[in-house]
Amino acid sequence: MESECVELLPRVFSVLGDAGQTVVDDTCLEKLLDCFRGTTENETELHILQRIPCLTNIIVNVSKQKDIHPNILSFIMKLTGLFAASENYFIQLEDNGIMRHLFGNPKKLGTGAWEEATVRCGWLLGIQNMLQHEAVIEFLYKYDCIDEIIRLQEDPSIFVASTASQLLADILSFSLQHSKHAALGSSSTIQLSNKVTVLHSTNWPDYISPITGHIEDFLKSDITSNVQQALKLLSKVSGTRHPVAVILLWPKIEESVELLLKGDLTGIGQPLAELFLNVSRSVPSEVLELKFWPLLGLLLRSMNQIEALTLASGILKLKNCPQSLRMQAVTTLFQPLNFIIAVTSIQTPEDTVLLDVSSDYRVDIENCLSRKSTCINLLCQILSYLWELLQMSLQTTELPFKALMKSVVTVLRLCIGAAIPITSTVVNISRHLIGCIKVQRGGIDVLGALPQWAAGIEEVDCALTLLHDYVSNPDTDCTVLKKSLQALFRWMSHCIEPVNSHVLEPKLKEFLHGDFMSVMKKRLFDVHWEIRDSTLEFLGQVCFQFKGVESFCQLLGSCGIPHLVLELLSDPESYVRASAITALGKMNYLSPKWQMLPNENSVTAVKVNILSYLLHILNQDTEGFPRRAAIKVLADWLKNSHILSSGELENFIPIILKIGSNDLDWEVKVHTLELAEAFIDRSVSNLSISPCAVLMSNSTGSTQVNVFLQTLCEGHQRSLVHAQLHWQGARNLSAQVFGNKRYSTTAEVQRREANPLLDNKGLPRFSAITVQHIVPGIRQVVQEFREGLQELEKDLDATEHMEKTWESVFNRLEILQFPIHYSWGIVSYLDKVKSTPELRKAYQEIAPLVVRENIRFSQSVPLYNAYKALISENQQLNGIQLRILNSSLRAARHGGVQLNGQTKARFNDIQLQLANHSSKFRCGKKQ
Amino acid sequence: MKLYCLSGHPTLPCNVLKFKSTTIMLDCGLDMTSALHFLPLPLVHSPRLSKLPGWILKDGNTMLEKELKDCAGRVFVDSVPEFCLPETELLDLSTVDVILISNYHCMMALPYITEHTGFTGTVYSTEPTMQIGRLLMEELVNFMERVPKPQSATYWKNREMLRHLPVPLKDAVEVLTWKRCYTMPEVNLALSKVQLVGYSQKIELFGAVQITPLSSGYCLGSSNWIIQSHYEKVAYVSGSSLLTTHPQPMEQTSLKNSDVLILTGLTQIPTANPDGMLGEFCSNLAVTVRSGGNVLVPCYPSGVIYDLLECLYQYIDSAGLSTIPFYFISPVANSSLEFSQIFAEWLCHNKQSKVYLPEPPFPHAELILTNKLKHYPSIHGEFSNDFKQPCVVFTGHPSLRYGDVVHFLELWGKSSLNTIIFTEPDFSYLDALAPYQPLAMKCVYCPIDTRLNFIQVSKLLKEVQPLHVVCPEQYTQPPPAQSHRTDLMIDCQPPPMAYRRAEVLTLPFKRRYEKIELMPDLAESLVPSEIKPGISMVTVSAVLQTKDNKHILQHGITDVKVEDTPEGHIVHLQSEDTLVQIEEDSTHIICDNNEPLRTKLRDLVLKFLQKL
Repeated sequence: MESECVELLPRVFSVLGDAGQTVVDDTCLEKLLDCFRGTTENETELHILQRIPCLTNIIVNVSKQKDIHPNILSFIMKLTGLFAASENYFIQLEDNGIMRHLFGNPKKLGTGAWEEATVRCGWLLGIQNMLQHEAVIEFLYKYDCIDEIIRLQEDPSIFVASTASQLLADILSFSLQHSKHAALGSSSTIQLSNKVTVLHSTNWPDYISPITGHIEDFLKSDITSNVQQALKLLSKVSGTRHPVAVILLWPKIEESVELLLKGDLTGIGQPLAELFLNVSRSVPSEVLELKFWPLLGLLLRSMNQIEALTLASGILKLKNCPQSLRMQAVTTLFQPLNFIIAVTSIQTPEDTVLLDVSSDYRVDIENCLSRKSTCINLLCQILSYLWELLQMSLQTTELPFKALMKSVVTVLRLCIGAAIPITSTVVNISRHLIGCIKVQRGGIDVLGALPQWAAGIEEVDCALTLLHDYVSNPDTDCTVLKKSLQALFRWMSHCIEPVNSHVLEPKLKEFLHGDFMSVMKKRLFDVHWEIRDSTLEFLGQVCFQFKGVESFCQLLGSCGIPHLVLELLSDPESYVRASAITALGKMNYLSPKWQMLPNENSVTAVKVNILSYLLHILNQDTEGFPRRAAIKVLADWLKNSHILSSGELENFIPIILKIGSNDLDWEVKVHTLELAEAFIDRSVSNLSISPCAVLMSNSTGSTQVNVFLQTLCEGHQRSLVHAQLHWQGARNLSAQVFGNKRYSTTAEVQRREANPLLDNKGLPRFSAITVQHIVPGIRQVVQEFREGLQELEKDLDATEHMEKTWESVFNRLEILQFPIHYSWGIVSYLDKVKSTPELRKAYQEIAPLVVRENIRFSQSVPLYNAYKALISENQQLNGIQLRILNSSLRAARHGGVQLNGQTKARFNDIQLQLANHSSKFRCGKKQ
Repeated sequence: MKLYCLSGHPTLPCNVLKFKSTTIMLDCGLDMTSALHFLPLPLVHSPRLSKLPGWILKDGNTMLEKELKDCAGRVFVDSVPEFCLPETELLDLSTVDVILISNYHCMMALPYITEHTGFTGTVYSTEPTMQIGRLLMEELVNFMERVPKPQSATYWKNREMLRHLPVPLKDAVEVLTWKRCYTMPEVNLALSKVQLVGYSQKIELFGAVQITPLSSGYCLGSSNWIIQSHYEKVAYVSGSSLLTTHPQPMEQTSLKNSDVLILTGLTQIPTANPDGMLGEFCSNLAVTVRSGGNVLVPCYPSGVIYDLLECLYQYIDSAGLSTIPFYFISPVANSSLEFSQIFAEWLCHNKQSKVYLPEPPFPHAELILTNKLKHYPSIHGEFSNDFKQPCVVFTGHPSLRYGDVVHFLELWGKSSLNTIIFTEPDFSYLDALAPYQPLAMKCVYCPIDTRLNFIQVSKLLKEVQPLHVVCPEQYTQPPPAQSHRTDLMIDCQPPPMAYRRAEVLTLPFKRRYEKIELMPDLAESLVPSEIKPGISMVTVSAVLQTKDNKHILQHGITDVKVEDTPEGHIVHLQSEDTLVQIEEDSTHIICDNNEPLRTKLRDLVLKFLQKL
């Protein structure tokens, strides 16, 4: 805690201790508590109490006052609890009688303030806070507090009630852990089992018998709410830091739990399930009683359908449960689907049932399915659990996949009104399900996860037809359509896997040659852009996956889809444009047999055509996504040029590099670098020298690279100057902006590794950044910025009478400003969201530096003149550039560039003061 | 209370309601599906149609060869198309007092009823209904009259012949009532009988019932009607929509608490969602135009076309179609587009508010302004100069039997690049296309019907809680093509009463109360006595007078004393100072020289004595 803080505290406490003053808002008290909690957690010995004597004073004083405000009393209780976690201090306070006064059984002490819920809450939380040593337990026992806590579980305020039950759980597990019989520190299983046996043979510590007695009583109670309370408490025990405590309790409660299971489960099913799952999750199976699993099975059997689903899915996720129980859980999960299949199927039932055991359905399945909300709810839950199961591939071998497939297909068919209901039950179900997007989504997810498990020829046929129905149905929702396409992609890819292809490929071929392509075409021109986007994405994926399948390539070439995709390059929605570009990029991988446009004969001509489209987009598109997609596709092509024979592409590399490195979007720049990298790699490998070896061995980099490039370009005879220049530009970018590892100097790398704040090549590494990095880091970037700015100003002065270009001014500025913006952005962000005193101190220390540098920057006359020159020299600037230019001009004017001498000094002074004040204000607010 | 059902078509209803002493016709829709049995009327001479072989009876009889033609295995009548009129024999239509029109599609039979049955009453409709209805009729008459056909086939209608005809002609309903189209003078006469009303306006009919049109949300000016007396309420729901397209939204609350709800005009394609179909329409259009084909959209000149144009207005830029011309060809195209912009008060709220900006409510104004949408009265004249392909053409008539659409089908039918997109659900597209077979053109069926679907209906019924529902029999079972979809029928308690053509339904409620007015001076003389807290009673003796279906109680002879004598009774009318002595064998009326009163009393007494 800072000294300023410490100075303030006595005054704060004097206000708090004054009964005349009222505290309206207790959130500030909570903050104060948080602050102390942070301090006490770090300190083992309570230096803070010695440093700040008024803390003890206020505890002592306030506890003696009579008419104190409940909020403050509650605060004091929590605060005392925090400090009393230290055993010494606790004893000290108890000797003073303060402990007894504050925390002794309030009923017996007759405190009037006890009527207030906040005081009761404070009392409970205070005890919870100090529950770190056994003295507390003894204290509680001595003053009968435990009974009071048990009573508070039924407090009208739910906060108090839940705190009370949490506290009981904590006391229980703490005291069992620390009882002399089980004073073993470790929790390895052998020791645990020893511990358990030891405990069984001896008596319980006295002070927990009221709690265990209370639990036993309530479990046997006739009143549902009492049973619920006891079960919740037990669940909480298994969720505490020493969950084993619940196993120690288990023998005592087993009998009553068994009785409960055999009785009516209304209202207690959920807590019981939670208890069982918590226990089996947190306790190693060796320690569990033998009877535990049968009991769990009994619970699963007797719960109602919806609650049982949750339990079943919980069981299936357990690692240690017996196989039979697992099967039972699977059955539970499948029963409703079974039921649906059974009522929708025309065939004999035995043909359709999922599992042999499931002939006796739960009574409430039909009930559930007959009402709309429960029906949808039930199916959604089942489907999502099934999906989860299918994702955990290890344990799925036991699922009856064929039947599962059948049931999912039935449900999905019901959802679009395609299934033909026979009985009135199904009519009802189908009425609920038609058009239900939730169930559709879940069902299609499951269907999409199935091809690897159940894919006979029948299933493939079934799935393809169904998905086709979904994709072609104009009423299909956007998200459902997207999922359908994804599922379709999975099934299609499954069909061409080498293992299956001889059987399944004819089926797929038949499917593709149906009206599938015309549906795709229609979807490409859907009114909703989301659908256009998903369709393009799907087509791209499929093209890439099927690039070797000749029949597919021919089909795609002949149906005119590529032509339509080209059209979509001018879609008004930028996402769609981007997807169209990506899809086109993927289509390029198709075997050369396909023909893009019917009227153009040679494939290369088409590719050039696409290339010019891409260049156009890279050059002209106003939004980032399409440009990013375009440069990515180009880079990708170049990387895979051995497959693509992209001779044409290489001719355009200088242009691409030029456009890409001038782009304002950083992702475009990154991908430009990738492209450049791929280009270099390729060129070098053509010369059969290993490029990496050459480059990596030269940490100083640039001259060698230049030489290397020159030889390389000579060998390449074309556009050598351009390539080299732009490579230079790109390398500069890479080194300064993104720290591309391969080409930056080792010094730089080291620097970045030393200070994560300066590592600006991706997202900020927040977890690595600490306060210590701030001052040196920012100092360094400011220093670099200052030097860079001076250099830039010098250059600008030197070329004052020459024509300025956008590149010579703003590109350099961008490179110059990026590191400082990046790092300082992180610092101010941290200051806003995760402020600590240390950080504030560092911030205050370094902020004036940054502000001063900012002022210098905005008052830079050479820059200002350069802006003016740029705007007056009638450059061919586009809209974005003009806007940047105008706002830079305005910023400079507002920053005082036109001021001189006295006025300028005064202006700067004001600026600094303003920054100073506002940072002080912020700090003040946070204390 | 009776309901006479004159039409069997669920969306083109024509019913007559007898309620209290009034006879009210609810809509008079014209079933134009009969035109599908006729050959199309080409605008330009079509060698293909004229070369079709005549149809010869199985026994080689050639008497129908001239009247019936065979095209791709189906038989068509080669004559001017005729329409199936509502039933005229079920009751004397000259007794109809008023005709209530719910929307412009349901008034196409109006001239037949008002001009040829002796009808002397009034037709009530909203202004847009009347104006757009006139446009539709005008267009129809124009289509028929501009291609006069010399020959008129009648012989095939002969009862003897009908039996030998092939299906579907054999199964056509009520062939004998089929009539040729009316003429423009008849239309004008019929429309001159229309009285314009506004939504929620209350109209008294002879003091007996009150009728009120309510907004129904289906099209410009479309309305549902409430017909109520003091104690009974009948709601007539026809062609309503809950979708927020261009018209004013549907008014539901006033439909509550009706004794009978007559429900017609539900969607004809219950499984197609209009939004999805609109999307389907757009994407099919784009795919066709993109691949260099033309798109033909057969449609009515008003209604869904506004929504189509609005949708396209938003869509064409995204699909890169801004250079493709849209043509709207109809004799009334101009009026329809203009009319739509001036009926601001009948539009939905956000369109209404545009008027204050001021902007035209519909974006098709902008399409016209930017020359993307052009409209022409017919394919002749100016259009042929401007015509550029590929293009999109909106034109009538959706039956494909008359209008400019016939020409485009002949023109574009041979190429598979072109597409015809059906958006109007009124005609089966397979039947409509039958005389054009074989057809290479692609056909897409995207019916857009914004009328209530069955889910919406059951919700509506739950909300307005009518005691009884009356509907066409088609709505009481699933559609024949999807017999498993039991969700596609009206499901309510008690089950709806179904009607079919030429049936008379006795509506299941009795009139038990009637409102009677007390004259103020009579009311003043009453002194009620409280028999129970809150309930007071008094006996009233007065004269009941009934005039113009209004009942009024007023003072008459009231102070009567009756004395029993051994021989009989004496009635003493105190204010007149008159005695009526009634005995077993004699009756005396004693009054003071008041001869008229004496005769009156004598007549009365004699009348009652006779009854005894």
